[in-house]
Amino acid sequence: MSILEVKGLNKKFRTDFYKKPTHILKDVSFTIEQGRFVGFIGPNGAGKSTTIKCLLEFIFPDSGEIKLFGKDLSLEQRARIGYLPERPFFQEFLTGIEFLKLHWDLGNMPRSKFEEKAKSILEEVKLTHAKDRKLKAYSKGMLQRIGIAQALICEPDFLILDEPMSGLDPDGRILVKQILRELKKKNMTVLMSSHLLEDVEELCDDLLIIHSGKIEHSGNVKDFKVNYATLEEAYTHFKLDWDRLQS
Amino acid sequence: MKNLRTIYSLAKLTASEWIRLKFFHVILALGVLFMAFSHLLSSLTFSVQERLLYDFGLGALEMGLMMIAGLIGSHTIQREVDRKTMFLLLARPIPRAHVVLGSWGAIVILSLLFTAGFVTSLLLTAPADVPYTGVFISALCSFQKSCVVTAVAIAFGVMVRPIMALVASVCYWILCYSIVDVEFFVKKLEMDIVADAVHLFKKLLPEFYNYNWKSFYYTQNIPQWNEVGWVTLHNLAWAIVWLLIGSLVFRRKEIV
Repeated sequence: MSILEVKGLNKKFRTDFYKKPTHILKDVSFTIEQGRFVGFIGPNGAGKSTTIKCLLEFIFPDSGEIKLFGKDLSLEQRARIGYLPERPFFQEFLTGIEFLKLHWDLGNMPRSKFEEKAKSILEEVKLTHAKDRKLKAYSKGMLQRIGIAQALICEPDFLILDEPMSGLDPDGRILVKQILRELKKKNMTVLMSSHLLEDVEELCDDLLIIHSGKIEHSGNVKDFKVNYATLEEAYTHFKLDWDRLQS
Repeated sequence: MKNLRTIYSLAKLTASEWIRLKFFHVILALGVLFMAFSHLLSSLTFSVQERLLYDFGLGALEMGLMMIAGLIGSHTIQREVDRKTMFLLLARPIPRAHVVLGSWGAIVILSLLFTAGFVTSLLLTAPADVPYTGVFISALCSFQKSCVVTAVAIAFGVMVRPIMALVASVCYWILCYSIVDVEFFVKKLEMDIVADAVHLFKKLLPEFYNYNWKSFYYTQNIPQWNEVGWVTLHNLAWAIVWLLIGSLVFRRKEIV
């Protein structure tokens, strides 16, 4: 069953009103099946974050179709998504538990079940000890983990993670990876944008490669690197071929 | 109920955030200064002490409320967008109108706290024979006007940069009082098209000039309750109109 179907997504941005609009997304189409962990890779400015912003209706595509759980995007469908933004910008004056409560309330989840859910999710992200600490006192890794906790707290069916491991120290990366591995075991459907190919190789089942606003590859990670030792090697060759074709 | 819960959560979040900021503390400090100044001015006079205290005090209350409405209203949503905390809020299944209503609710709470604090201090420090009802009605009227200006500032705040929204909302507040003067001068010019345009423009503004009750006179000559009721409905309707405009604009605003 398809969780997400994107067809012919186009988006142009005008940086200044006297300048010509830049075509950021060019006919982007892809599908994500249930239970798949999908890596979304591409160079900076390729259109990864723009695609994600379209999926979450932060911006609106000029044309194209997005179907989530088989239906057009709506609040009801969006309630089933958990999202972690690229950099964790949170309301830093809140404590960890207050932050989770805010998202629980905004997700319209039953009040009576919050305590139980918060306890289990804080244990999962290993932040029980810091739940009453203000977010401004959290380290980068802790912020990323509380971000994952807020993405998971409303029991989503589909998780969108925008570079969950960027800027983390080795310990932070190990912890976040552990959480992601647990999610994979639970058969959670995940779209993870990342620049770290070794993490994508380790965690993801499928791969989406976007270049200059176009999806250049969509398929299984194993198939993509079949002739190479690592995903990084396969991607380097893919990139060289792509550059050659462009020139 | 679900809608109210999300609006309440957003209002609580925004209000608690602004209470922590120096911005709001400065406004509170100015409020205290205004209050002290009104007492100082009244103590310098011999026969019109009360008049000066209430004229200046109630005027200062409206000034403080407009500072809260204009400054916080114009910045509140854009601040969340600039700090990128808006992404997490909008990723939740809440209509964008709730963000506008939540921000408005937060500033209304702050204004209410400011009004309550200011009026209580004014009455506690006032000389004998305090005109409670008159002061209460005057403060209520100023509070309601600030609710309208807050909605205006939020609506402009989602259309243009905060500083422009601040200027627009202050101009709007001034125009709501002075449009009758503008109309008078335009009539003197004997230019029918301009006069018609100003007359039409007048219809687009709430009639603050009709219930300018922030003076000693109105604490003694208390407005009728039916007038208070009309003013309340009038202000409420204008606040709703501007909240609708703000919500409609914010609904299609791209958060990049």
